[in-house]
Amino acid sequence: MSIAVEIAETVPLLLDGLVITVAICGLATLFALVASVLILIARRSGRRWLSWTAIGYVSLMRGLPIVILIFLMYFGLPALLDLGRVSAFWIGVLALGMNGAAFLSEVLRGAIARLPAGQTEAAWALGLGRVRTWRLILVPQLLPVALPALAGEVGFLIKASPVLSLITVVDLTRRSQQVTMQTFDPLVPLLAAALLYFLLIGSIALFARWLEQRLAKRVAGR
Amino acid sequence: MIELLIDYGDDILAGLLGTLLIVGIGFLLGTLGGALLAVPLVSTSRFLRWPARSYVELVRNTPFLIQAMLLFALFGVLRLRLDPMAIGTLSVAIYTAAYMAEILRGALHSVPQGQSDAARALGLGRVLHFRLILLPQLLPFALPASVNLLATVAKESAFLSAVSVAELTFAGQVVIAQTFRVFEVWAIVGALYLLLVLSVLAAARRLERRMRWTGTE
Repeated sequence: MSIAVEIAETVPLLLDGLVITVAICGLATLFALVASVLILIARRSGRRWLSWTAIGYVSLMRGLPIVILIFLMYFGLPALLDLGRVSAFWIGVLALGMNGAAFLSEVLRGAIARLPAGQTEAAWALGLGRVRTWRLILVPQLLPVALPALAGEVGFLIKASPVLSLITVVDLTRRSQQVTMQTFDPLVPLLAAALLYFLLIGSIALFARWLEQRLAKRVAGR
Repeated sequence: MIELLIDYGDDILAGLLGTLLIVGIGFLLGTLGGALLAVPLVSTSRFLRWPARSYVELVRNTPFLIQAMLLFALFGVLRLRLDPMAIGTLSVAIYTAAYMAEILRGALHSVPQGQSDAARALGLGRVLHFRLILLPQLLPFALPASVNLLATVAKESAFLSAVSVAELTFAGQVVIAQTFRVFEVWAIVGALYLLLVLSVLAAARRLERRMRWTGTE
């Protein structure tokens, strides 16, 4: 029982860190959303060098651990380009966003591939232009896949976000280490942080699943 | 970059070996654990299912670094002396087991219940039923998914450098502390991870294609 009380007392100390974690992951998700659409456009552009760049980028992000990516961006590139100190917060947003964009673009690409090709042809035959075909026909069908994927993306990024603590960002993980140093208790601050991560990631996962089922029903009911 | 590789190539390769060992052994142990967890996970008894489900959800909804740090802290508090490599391997195994159990549960659910009734009616024993009926249907789904999981685990293992486990990322930090060649070292280490993870992912894709071929005959 006493350990539960200790955890309850530690949680308020960690909430500052939690806010930083959520802020960075939220900003990174916004970045990922915009970047993933750009990656898709590059991939479908029909220009070989553009689509190959996009494919190379996605492979790079799939193959590189997020730890190495963030070390390269926070320590490696500033050393190479002689930039001096860069903001750990914004490097964190950028690195998580770049990583998330690659995965999001793969999800969206899969969803687009499942749309029947006949629809685009029919829309063109009806005289709808390219933009209106996408806006009126294709995007509304992509949303039931895209919105839960976007919610899942936030959870995915929060799970990766302790990487921020490795580049001096005072996120939830680092905050728990600070509390450990003040209280000399190695276990309770970590348990409290784990609890907060679990509640956050778990509820995002539940929300994503709920959204998925709800949107699937809505599409099926039309 | 060349003289860096000549002078410190051995250290980096030793780190790579550490990563291969930790991920290899941890993944095998985790696969075993996942198989053991999958049994209660598909059980109809709530008392069997609930503990297994809790374990899976706890692991899948917390970051790997937090799990590893907790495990190290736990060993410290209990005053158990164990090599950091071994604790790192154990944390990989704990992580793998949860995801592997979910993969196997999904695969088991895809096999209709009527088949096991039919197998029993035909007089097949438990072992034969598993080998002849279940396994051939589990593999086409579970095998590519497991290899994908291996790639994820290899990437996550880089977090172990933060708890001083002697693996590839940690080796990179040690070499940087001696040479201050920050960009070059992370580029070399990154290239090694890229090679490792992308070849595992390529193997997963090949398996997926081959399994689809045999799975739908």
